Amino acid sequence: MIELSPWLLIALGGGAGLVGALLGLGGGIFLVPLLTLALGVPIRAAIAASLISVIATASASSTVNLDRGLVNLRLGMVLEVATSIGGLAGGVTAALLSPRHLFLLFGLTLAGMGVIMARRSGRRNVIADTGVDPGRLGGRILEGETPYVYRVRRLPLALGASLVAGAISGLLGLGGGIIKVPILNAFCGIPIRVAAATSAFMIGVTAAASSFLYFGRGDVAFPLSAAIALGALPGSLLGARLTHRVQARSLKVIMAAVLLIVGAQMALKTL
Amino acid sequence: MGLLVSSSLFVVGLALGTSGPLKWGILLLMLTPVARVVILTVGLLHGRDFLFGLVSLFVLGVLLSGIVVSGRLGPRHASGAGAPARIP
Repeated sequence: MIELSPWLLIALGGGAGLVGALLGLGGGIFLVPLLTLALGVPIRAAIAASLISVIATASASSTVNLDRGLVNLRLGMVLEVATSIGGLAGGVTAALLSPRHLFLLFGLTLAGMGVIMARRSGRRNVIADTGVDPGRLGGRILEGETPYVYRVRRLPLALGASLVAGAISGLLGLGGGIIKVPILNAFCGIPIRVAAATSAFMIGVTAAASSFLYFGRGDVAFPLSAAIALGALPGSLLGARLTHRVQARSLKVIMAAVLLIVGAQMALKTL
Repeated sequence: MGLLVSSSLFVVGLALGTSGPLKWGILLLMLTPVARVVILTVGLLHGRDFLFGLVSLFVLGVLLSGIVVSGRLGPRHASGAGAPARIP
């Protein structure tokens, strides 16, 4: 049995919550590798703790993002239909996969998304002409003092990505933002800040769908999960407040770098 | 509100070293997104946005089915005893 300081876990949760809220990811991509690789926590307990932390991050950061009008609620709920179905399926099948398969799947998913984000970091999705109709699922945002319009493109792709994101969430303890944010931004015409904020709103729902399954199976380690969530709450509030101070391109580059590094580390562990 | 109560339960549970408050705090935290979807669904239906109201209702149904399924799952470990990490 491993002895872990609650202060270390609270700090870990705080860091994951801060960066997760900044990028709309929830923080699971940092927590699962750190808990398993650095602290030796078994992967199923790490995944359960991560899901609880993702819920904390999503709930806290959405409070800030909803106030700023960055969350596209209609788009979020439409995509959540696919994500929540995937989340349930992922939570059920997690018990059937070996830890080695979980690590490999996690690593390859992260690295692939990192490459996509890096290649498309220079592209913008907003339309300067505010007279353009954004459609039922699109919207308007303010960047500084300038209003922009965005339209949703390739909705079937967004739905497919959301289904996969849900399954990945249940399997790997992520919010699923790791799939949704890059796809929504790179392929579906959603600005990075809106993609991140909408994802942050959705990931709480996605993580909740599979967290009940982990809870029912007795995989939730209460002190571990509670300490991490306790740190994630203030960390994610800070991250959500910082997001408008960072340039959109910088957000994409940071995200790509994080995905590549963590993904490669996780995949290499299986060798 | 839910987040505040959860945080308080976490602090109490960690300070006293007892799992009861931690368990209830985690359950409350897990129910927070469910409560948000309930509020959103009611708001959409109340505002006569039936298409998106039905979409939200569907998401709520999936979430509730997850709760029902979890209630029927046999625990792999007794009462979170799978906890690999012990906090002093």
